[in-house]
Amino acid sequence: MSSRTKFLIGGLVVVAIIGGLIATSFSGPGDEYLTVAQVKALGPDQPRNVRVAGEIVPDSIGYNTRELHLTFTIQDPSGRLTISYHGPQPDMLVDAVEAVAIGRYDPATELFEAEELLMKCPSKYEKKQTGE
Amino acid sequence: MLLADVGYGALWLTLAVALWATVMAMRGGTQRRPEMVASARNALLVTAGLSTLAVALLLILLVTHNLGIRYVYEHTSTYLQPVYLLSAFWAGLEGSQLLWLWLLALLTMVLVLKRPGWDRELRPYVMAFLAFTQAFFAFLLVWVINPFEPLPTLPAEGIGLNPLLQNLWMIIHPPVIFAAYALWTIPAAYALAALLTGRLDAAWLRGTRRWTLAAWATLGIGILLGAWWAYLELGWGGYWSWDAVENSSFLPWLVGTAFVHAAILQERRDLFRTWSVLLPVVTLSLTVFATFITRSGLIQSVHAFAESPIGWWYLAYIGLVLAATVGLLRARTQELKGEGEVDNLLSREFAFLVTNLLFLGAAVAVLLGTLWPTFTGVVRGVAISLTAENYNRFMGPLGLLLVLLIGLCPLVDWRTSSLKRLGRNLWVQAVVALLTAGLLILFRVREGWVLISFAIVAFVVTTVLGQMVQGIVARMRATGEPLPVATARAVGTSRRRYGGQLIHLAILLIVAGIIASQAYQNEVQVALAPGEEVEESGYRLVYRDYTFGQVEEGGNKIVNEAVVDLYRGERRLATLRPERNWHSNAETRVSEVALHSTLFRDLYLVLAGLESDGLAAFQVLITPLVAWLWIGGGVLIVGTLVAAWPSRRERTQERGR
Repeated sequence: MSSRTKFLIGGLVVVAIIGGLIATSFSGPGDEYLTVAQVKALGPDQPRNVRVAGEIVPDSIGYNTRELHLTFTIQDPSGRLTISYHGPQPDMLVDAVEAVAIGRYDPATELFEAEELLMKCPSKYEKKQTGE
Repeated sequence: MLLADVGYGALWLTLAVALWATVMAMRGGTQRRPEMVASARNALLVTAGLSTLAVALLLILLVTHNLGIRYVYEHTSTYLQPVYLLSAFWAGLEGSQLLWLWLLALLTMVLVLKRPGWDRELRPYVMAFLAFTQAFFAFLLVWVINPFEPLPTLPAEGIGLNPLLQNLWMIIHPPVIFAAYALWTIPAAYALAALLTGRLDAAWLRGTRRWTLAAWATLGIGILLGAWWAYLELGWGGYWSWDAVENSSFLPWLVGTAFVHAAILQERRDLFRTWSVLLPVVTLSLTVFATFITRSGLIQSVHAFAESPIGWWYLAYIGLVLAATVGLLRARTQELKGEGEVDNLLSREFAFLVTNLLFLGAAVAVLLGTLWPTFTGVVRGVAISLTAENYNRFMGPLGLLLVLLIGLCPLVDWRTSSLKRLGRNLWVQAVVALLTAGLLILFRVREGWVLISFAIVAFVVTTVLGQMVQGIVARMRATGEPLPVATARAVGTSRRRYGGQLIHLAILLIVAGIIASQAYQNEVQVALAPGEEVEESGYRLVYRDYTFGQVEEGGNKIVNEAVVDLYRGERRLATLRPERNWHSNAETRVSEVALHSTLFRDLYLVLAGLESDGLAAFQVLITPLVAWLWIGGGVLIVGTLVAAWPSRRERTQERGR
């Protein structure tokens, strides 16, 4: 076998390993983006987290400082959903901002128990991020 | 509005002159007409002047609060702290792209002011490409994103700067990133010029080595500054979240790093010439792609950007550059065959090849991950977003393999090596690695991946330090010089080698910081009344006092602050003052975290809520080795300077020219 062939085969093996690694990592638990209606249709015992996004309904934010417990309602064209979250209230979580909640829906309480919250910047700052 | 008109005019002129320079440099090169090349050179000095004028005018408009200009209105207010008027310059797309154009024009000026030497033949094409890229940005600024656009009516007050950007690190981070992006244009320009002229031997790599190192290090520092900003300002205790915007600056870094290694391989062994010309062009394309993905509305990101058709212009530029590159690559198949031969798989050549495959693999994975929600949205109808866990699952192993290669590479020889020789060189490092793992087990580290990771890092640190020490000791023995002199002279005579080793040490520091901070973050969330206290990980936090609803900045800022004394045992370490403020004008709350940072761990205190009676909710995060990331950044700068600093011989050559 020529050295060139050896390098080619060696390189291909490395590429295959990298490819396999990527494939297995991507097939892991990614989060599905669902609409509010789709979330509400979920049954109990969901196998993994889902993402749901919506605009925060004005005056729906409540924060219990003693318990560090946050609740608020989001709405998208398909309906409204109340989100429950334990932890600090994210800075940008204010009325009328678009929020993304990552977590599971509990049909019994009709609450979406969020593990993580992401805020999109308020619309007036849409153009304010650096252009990286 | 006169200033704005002059500024807009300067941008138009920049566009015209840059186009002139593109055509003249190109024709001057192909027809061998020095007077045309000289005209292009002068034109490029003019664009540097014109873009400087545009920058100065926008700055004046910002500083004088000229709210009749849309950009000034959207990004500043009269009560903004003066220092942040500078951040406002690059807070929006218009200003940031003007900054990019300006930095590119300045770098081009530096380049053309140097008399042509080794690059006499390549120079016209390099100038043509730089001029073309300047024209591209000038076109965008004139046509699509005019920073000098006036408003129909004069508003009484501006919208103001996003409070999140009102942070000292955010003044520095964007310009450093854009400087890096502009710097990467230069190696890419030389790569294309080398392809055009067929001068594909290593001369262009040697000649552009310093530009490449500067571009590479600047990008790395820019990314670290961004991480630092996220850590200090975003209040979640992390520094990296695999967000599309973060990924978009990480992608060119990954491919750029592959290029740095490919260049060494061609210089040393004349192998894989195609990689050396392709990788800098891909790196440049990725810097522009970064702007495309954040502006096209294609990507779901935490950073919401205004969606506008401007993204497609960036894609058009990339398409053009890549098409030209692929065309030239096909035309130059003969010249792209290097003279080097590969011999054995157990050789440094193969280690370099694997290094580059791993870097490119990581880049492909990060790119796929960033675009994943878009793909799945189209293919499956449901957008699926990757979590940090997904990313860590491929980036962890790929990163560790790369780290391992830093340690193995110096132990295998060029061309061919034997396992026996490798084994002989290996045992010291192996013992250190095992001792490290043993020590960590004693300190109750139980997670397998953490033990393996630190064992690998210890192995590699031993190799790199061992190599550095060996070189210095050999010199002491040979010359009888004392240690400091021998160190200085050894480093002085082999700057590239010691610089490279320092850079590898910097990467190892950063990797160690990442592993520890990812593996062991302790968190406690607690509500306290004034006078109450909480203990965590050997720290004691006493909530002493608070300020509720104090009005500042003429009613614009309402400050809520907690005063917390931090103790370790009976010793008071610091008084922490986390804030949770309301910015009325921006209608945003901004938490200012309090940080007690030491070499081995950071205590990060967030005020999660404060009520009028003083009841406060705190989030306390204790994270090990975070400081190592920033220290690594410092070592990286030093290493790059050592590697790039011209030796005495090179300096005399420069002067002699």
